[in-house]
Amino acid sequence: MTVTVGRASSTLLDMTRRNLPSIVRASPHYFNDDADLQRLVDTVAALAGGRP
Amino acid sequence: MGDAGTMTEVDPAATDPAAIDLAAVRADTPGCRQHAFLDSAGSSLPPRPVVDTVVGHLRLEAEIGGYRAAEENLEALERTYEDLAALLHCGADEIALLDSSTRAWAQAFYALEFRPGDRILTSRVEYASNYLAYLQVAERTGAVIDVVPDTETGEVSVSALEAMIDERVRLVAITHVPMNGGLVNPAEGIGRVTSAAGVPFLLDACQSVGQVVLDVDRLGVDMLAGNGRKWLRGPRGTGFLYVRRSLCERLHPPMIDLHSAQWVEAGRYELRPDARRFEMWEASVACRLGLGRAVRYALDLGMETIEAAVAARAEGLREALAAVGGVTVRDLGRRRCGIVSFTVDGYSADDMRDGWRRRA
Repeated sequence: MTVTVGRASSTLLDMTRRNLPSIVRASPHYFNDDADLQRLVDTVAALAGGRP
Repeated sequence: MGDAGTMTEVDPAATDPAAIDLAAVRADTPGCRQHAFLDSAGSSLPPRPVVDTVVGHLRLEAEIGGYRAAEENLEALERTYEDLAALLHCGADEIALLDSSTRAWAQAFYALEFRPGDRILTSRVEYASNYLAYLQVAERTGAVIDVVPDTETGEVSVSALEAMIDERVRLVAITHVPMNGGLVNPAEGIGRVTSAAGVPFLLDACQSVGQVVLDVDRLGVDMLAGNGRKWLRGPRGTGFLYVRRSLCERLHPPMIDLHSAQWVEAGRYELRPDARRFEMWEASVACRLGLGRAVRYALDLGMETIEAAVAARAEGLREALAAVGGVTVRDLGRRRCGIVSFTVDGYSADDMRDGWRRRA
């Protein structure tokens, strides 16, 4: 799976005001199907659900 | 996860605007079969016709040399300008080809002259490279950077912009779609204000071109920078600049060569009359041809169709992610596009990205 990370230094004013050091950025295009999107959701859910 | 009927399922009805022939576009995109590629805001997967165009030209260069290869593909190269003009609804003479959106943006920005106290109005979501240029020019010239406040929903406030306009405003420069979130800034409203005030409007369309319909007249934009590798699915190392004809003839590029100008007498030169005064002579012809092919690919699908498909997929993804406990979707704005930004409690974005890349 390929997503990317947006860091505060790329959009400093905005990220500083929102107190965000970084965000995960997913950017689906028209060639992505529902399975692509679902894979991201499932992966995120597994991670979020696996927290101690 | 993925239990049937949970709220975290991506709803196919929400993500299917029908007009895209998914099987056909996926067949043109071999990379999308290998893994879930969700980084078209970074550097997308070029479709097969784009790859074939670039590689084909490189092969031709290997056979007959770069100069003759360029001559043989001269018509196709001109068509890149024409297709970009069709994409932006402008004239082909208002397009310059550059090697990135940042370069294109800088060619326009650094052509403007600022005096002490001149104001540059910009947005809170401005990309670092643009803001660095403002800081440098402010340092050099005494110009002042003023950030236009946002509305409650996060986009540039057109009414606040209108209230800030005075005779010292020399430029309004706005990032159309920020790199870190899904909002679309109200370029059309901003353009109405700048047109009425007679202030140049520079739009950074780096993250909007190829996913959002752009019409420079409808938006009231005077200069616009975009690139190839993101939503247009072109090759890396490609970008372009639109400059309105009436403004172009008054702008001197920050640097020139024998392509942007002609040395007519020992002590005199003449700039090209069209937007190509912002180009320099050397470039990757293969990549420029590839960019043209990518633009045609988008035009053939239809920008309205693409915009609807991208927005629908992103919205479906946002809804499903928002339903996962511990996930916060960070996108602002009333009008949203194909960028979905989020955080997960307890995890840094880098940890997540690196962990997932190792999976399929």
